[in-house]
Amino acid sequence: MNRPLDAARGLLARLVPGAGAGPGAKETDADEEAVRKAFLAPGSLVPAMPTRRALRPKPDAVLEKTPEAVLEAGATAAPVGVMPVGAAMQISSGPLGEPESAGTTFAWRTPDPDPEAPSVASPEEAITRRHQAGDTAPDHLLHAPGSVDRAADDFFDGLVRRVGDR
Amino acid sequence: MTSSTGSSGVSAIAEVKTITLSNNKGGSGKTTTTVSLAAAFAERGLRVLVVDLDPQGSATEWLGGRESLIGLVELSAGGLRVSELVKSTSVVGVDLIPTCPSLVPSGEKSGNDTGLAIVRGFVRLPDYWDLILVDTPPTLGYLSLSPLVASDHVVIPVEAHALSMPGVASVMASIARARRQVNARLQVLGIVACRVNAANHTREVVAQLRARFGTVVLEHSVRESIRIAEAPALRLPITRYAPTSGVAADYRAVAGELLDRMGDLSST
Repeated sequence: MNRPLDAARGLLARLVPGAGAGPGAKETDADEEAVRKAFLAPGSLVPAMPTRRALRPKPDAVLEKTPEAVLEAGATAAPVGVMPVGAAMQISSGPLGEPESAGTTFAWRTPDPDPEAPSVASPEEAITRRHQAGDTAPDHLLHAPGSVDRAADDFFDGLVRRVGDR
Repeated sequence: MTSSTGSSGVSAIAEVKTITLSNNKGGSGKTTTTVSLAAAFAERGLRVLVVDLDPQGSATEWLGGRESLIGLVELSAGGLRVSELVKSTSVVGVDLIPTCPSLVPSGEKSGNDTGLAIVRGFVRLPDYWDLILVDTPPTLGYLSLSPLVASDHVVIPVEAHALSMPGVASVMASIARARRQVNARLQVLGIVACRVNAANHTREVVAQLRARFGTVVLEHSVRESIRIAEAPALRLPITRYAPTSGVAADYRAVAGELLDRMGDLSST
């Protein structure tokens, strides 16, 4: 049994409108506490669980299916471990939507910044930059580490020397 | 190699071309692309040899082979016939030199010794095949650098993910060094974007690759597909496991584009 995932599913089910009768406030708080503990446990892949406020769908959030429905339909498991803080999940179909090409794919829609959410200033800045027209890849992603040049030089120089020696 | 005509009406390449699939980042799609392209080229009637230089042997397994006790290192020492180390595969038209324990040096041998032996092994291969595809491990070292000495072209598979981009830069740097020091004819045949899906992020990564590397990035990309994950279990390339799938079509299109770029085909 995957307690963090089950707990997260339970919490999400309660937060999605129309997912059944709403639980009492006490029960929701207990679930949230369980999820928070699970995600903060040592060794957890997720460094921190977003607050309930951050998880709550915005009024304009579009959820064509609940996460449970998607999972039961056989779609790829939701990437819980890489979910950006404060993101709302959307199901979208794109031009590549063949059956084997993840016709149902997950795209993360970042809601308005939440002042109470953990600081994610850098990623948000990166996302903002990424969407600028004519933008190119960030420089830091396009530079090879210096060790690459050194390793290649060592190998090729050594090769030339060895061939010359024989 | 003299020209001959393949079963699909595509004439063979004028001389054997060695293509290394390289990216120092793991999970970029090197093995998948190697196996899939080999099968797609064979569908066109080309004779293909896959050389598995990855000690993990994923390409070997995928093509129905198994680890061999002899490989390029042994071939370089002489006294061995090529037919002894080349194995047939589950794909008609595709042969294989499987991964081999001697790819990892032992005793007093260094990685550079093994690298040189691998280069010499490549030189000893006959020009029986039209294309030699070399699958490399996701590490920066003699196993990924030595084939650059003996290759004509490099194909760089890239997972459509932001963190894959440093891997491309790393390979480009290695190629630049190889061209300058040991192999001036080495060319980047193309960057292949793999595992592309409908998510904005993957498409943005492809757009960024194009912005940075221009037409080096192939026009065709390869979509993400569960079929690709299923195919190795049956030891079949995607073109045989799911021949009518979109991802099989993608690899066929990539193969065609690469052949066009090599410019050595003469239509019949």
